[in-house]
Amino acid sequence: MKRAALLIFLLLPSSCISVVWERDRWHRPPVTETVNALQEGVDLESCLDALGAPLRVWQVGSGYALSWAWYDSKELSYRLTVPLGQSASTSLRYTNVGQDTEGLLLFFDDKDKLVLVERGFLKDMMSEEEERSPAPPMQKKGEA
Amino acid sequence: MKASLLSLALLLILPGCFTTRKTINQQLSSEAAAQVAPGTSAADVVELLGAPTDIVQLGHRSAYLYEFQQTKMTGLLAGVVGFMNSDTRSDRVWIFLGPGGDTVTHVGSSFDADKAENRMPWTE
Repeated sequence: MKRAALLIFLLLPSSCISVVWERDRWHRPPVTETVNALQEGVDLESCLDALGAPLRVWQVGSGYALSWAWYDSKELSYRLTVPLGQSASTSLRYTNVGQDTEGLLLFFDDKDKLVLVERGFLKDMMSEEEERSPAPPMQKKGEA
Repeated sequence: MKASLLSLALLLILPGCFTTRKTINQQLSSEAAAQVAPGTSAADVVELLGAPTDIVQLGHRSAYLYEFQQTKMTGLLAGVVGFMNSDTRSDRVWIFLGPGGDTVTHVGSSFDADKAENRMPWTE
């Protein structure tokens, strides 16, 4: 009987305290060898054949850009939820690991020829791109 | 005693398992998309695939996006410990149209939505 009481005592706090291992995968990166094989001057058709459909396309000057993006985040979260009344509660969340969205940008000229390939964290590349272009479509993590 | 403790533990732990599936937009037909090729008219594209999810203006040209997204979530909540996994993939078709937006010049497609999986966070 004592064991049952102990078990219930141990399980009851699960409603307000939890340790959660979360993994969130959003799309997949293109094959590295495929990206490395892309050379300046390659046409749009070859790039689409090699990489498939991009996530986004937008105009850049007289040309345009294509973007692929992905992330794979692994987080260990500690949550403490404290009931404040019948209809309200508050919670604190601590996350010790985070990973940002990575991406691949391909820039084409008006003749559909590849002029630039950029890889890295999407946030950094897009902020650089914002300086070059007035209105690129900035994507937030988790948005399609 | 052991059996009753185990039963109690199972009753308290099992309700913490879940799988969900969330989709955005309607699933794309790969057969219909395969019929779109350079030279296809914009009217035929719309007849085959319906209204695009998005239209992007590229100077005098334009591009249609067709997109279907699927997210599969899996969770296991055992007492104070939880495991959650979310996997998002999508089907996308980008159709590039020439000046005036009348005729298809390029098509790019990826069909990965069905590859989204219900799995635990530690699996690769």
